[in-house]
Amino acid sequence: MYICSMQQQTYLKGCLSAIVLQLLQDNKRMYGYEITQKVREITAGELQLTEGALYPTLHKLEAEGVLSTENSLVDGRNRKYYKLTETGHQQAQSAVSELTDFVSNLQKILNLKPSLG
Amino acid sequence: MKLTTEQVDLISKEIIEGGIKYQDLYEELLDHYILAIEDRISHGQTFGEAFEEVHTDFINYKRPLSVWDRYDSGGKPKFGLVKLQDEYQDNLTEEISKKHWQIMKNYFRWPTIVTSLLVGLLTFQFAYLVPRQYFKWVIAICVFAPIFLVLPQFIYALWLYISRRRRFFISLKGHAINLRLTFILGIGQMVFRVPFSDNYSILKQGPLSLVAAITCFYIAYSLSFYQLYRERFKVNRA
Repeated sequence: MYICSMQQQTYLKGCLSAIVLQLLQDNKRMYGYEITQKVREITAGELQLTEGALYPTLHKLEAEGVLSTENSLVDGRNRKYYKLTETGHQQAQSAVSELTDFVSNLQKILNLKPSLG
Repeated sequence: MKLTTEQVDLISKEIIEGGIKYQDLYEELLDHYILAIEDRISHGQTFGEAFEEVHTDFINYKRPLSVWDRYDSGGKPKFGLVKLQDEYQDNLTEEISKKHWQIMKNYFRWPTIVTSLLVGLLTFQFAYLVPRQYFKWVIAICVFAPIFLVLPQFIYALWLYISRRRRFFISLKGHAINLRLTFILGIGQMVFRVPFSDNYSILKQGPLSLVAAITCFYIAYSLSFYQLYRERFKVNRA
């Protein structure tokens, strides 16, 4: 129910940072599980981020200063929210535009029809 | 459906047994496990099935091989929660250290360099005007100021730990602060007592210009630590 194909997972890994940055740009602040659910919701369950891939990405972006964190007490436990820093906002724009360019180039290649006569 | 206290305790036990030893990462994982399991239970799974599924996603995580691993574990890939923690710790330590030196370097870039040069010139002037022992106090203040800065946060964490309101005393950010503080304390000790020498002290017998340069370094280090602390270490609560 929660698993997408291994091949898709491999593709996802390469663009995980861009996905996280874009989601945080749209949603101000989010916690880890919320990000996985949001991706699932947007893609109608077609894509599912694995926790083992998401957290290292979030932690790396946090360590690099691209994301900052804040804690809120929810149901008696601390919830860690991630949000974009000033650098993060700039990086989000460039990461998303790079990914869009890449996808459009990929589309060109995939849409190529054999022209050998 | 909310999980029972016993179920939450079981999750907590598994996370701790997985090798997690920092409070911030422990809290984040516990929150994720609880949410993910509650969600799966609401979709018809049992607690056992839901836990297994969530746990597998984490323990199957394979950390990318780093150069150091070749010496550390014979180049074998690493798995599990503890590897997630190792990677987080390595990233944070490396980036914090990089950021700290970057702040220090900024003191020598335009326009901050003007202030840095003025402070440097004043220190060199003072070196010839005031007795040497005053520099000992300036350096001691610069060495201990960062410690006093982080002390309230450490005392608060200790109090929460003693009153059993948190599982671990130290957090990953706390660990990164410790490394920065250990560095300044380590080199601070070298200034007061040169290693392998019983009766030579830079402050007492070293050239005045060197004493002034060391003092400048400590002022810069102390100020940069304050800046780093404000930017990266303060725990924000919403």
